[in-house]
This record gives sequence, structure tokens and C-alpha cells, in this order.
Amino acid sequence: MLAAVRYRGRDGRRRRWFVPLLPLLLLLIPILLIACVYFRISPLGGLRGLGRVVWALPGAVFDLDDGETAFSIHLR
Amino acid sequence: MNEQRRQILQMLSEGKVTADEAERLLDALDRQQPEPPPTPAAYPKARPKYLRVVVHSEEGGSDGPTRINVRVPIQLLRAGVKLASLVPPQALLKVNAELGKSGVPIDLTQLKPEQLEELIDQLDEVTIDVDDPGAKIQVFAE
Repeated sequence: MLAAVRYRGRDGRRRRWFVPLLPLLLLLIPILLIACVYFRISPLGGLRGLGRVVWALPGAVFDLDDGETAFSIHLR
Repeated sequence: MNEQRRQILQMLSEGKVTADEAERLLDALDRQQPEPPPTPAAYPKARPKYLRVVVHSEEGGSDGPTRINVRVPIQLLRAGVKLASLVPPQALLKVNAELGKSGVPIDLTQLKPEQLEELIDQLDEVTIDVDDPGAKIQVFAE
């Protein structure tokens, strides 16, 4: 799963990043588990919920084009 | 008239088969005929997979028009609803209190995940068009 982030600044320069989401999620899992324990939420339920969200993410698109600047995130 | 039907009638006229036999043969032939292909209306309508929000505003300032395009997988909405069901009741009470202070008296504890699921199921038919001289907003499922 990959997030393609594109940015175009006022100077017209385009920047593009490809962010693999899986390593980020693996880093976030311990934080999620700590948060679940702190807020007294079932850690298993939290993990399952996060898994569902991540599984459903591909296909999501956010494009913002404001005159000279533009920003977009495409998840695939 | 197809060839097989013509042959049966030919055999009947030549006296090779009786009228009953010819009728049985014709019935058997009808049963073998493939059903006509279903019309496009007979196919179930494909369910939309995404909810799309498109905003086009001419009043974006000096830089030019502003365009926003958001595509949210409907599956993500379902996952969000399931995730929201994990929120503990104490937190919902606090949210209710804050909403009440802001003039939005909604009791979130009464909102069941099944009701939200039902709402998402009905999103297939949603189409919202807002046409303003300076902006255009469209919300639809695709």
C-alpha cells in the first residue's frame, strides 16, 4: 500500500513523494495498543478496527488545487 | 424458421412421422432453444464503490479558482463506523455535553452502528448538487 503525495508550490516547482504505509502502521501499532490500554478500549478491537480502516484505504483520493498551488494524496 | 423445425415439418408432410410425434419433436426443440439474453435492465445495478465530493470555487482569491476533489471508498466509511463503535460510553457522554454547549443537542449514545450502516447503504442513491454563482459543489456515489 502506497501513498502518492504531490505538491506544487507558488514557484511552480513540483514535488512528489511515495510513502509506503505498511512500515508506518507497524510503527503506530505499539502507540495504538498503549492508547487502547489507557482509554480502556479492547486492544484486539482497536487492532481489528485499524485493520479494517487500512484495508479500505486504497482508492482514496484527496486533491486540492488552489490557483498556483496544488496538493494531492492518492492511496493505492 | 430454423433448419431443424423445417426438417420435422418436412418429415410430417412426407408421412415419416405422425402429427403427435412431430408435435413432441417440436416441443423438444423448443426446450433446447437457449433463452434470449437478458436485457441490460435485468442485470443488477453495480453498487458504487466511492463517495465523491467535488468543489469548484471561482472565489479562491487572487491565485485563481479553487478545486477540491475528494474520493472516499464507501468501505472506508463502514470501517470508520465500526471503529467509532469502540468509543467508550464515558467519552460519548463528554462529547454529548460539549455538543449541547455548542447548541447541537444530539445524543450520540442513541446512535447505533446498525443505523449508521443503514445510512451508508443508502448512500448509493445520493446526489447533491449545489450551484452557486461563485461555486459549485457536487456529492455523489460512483
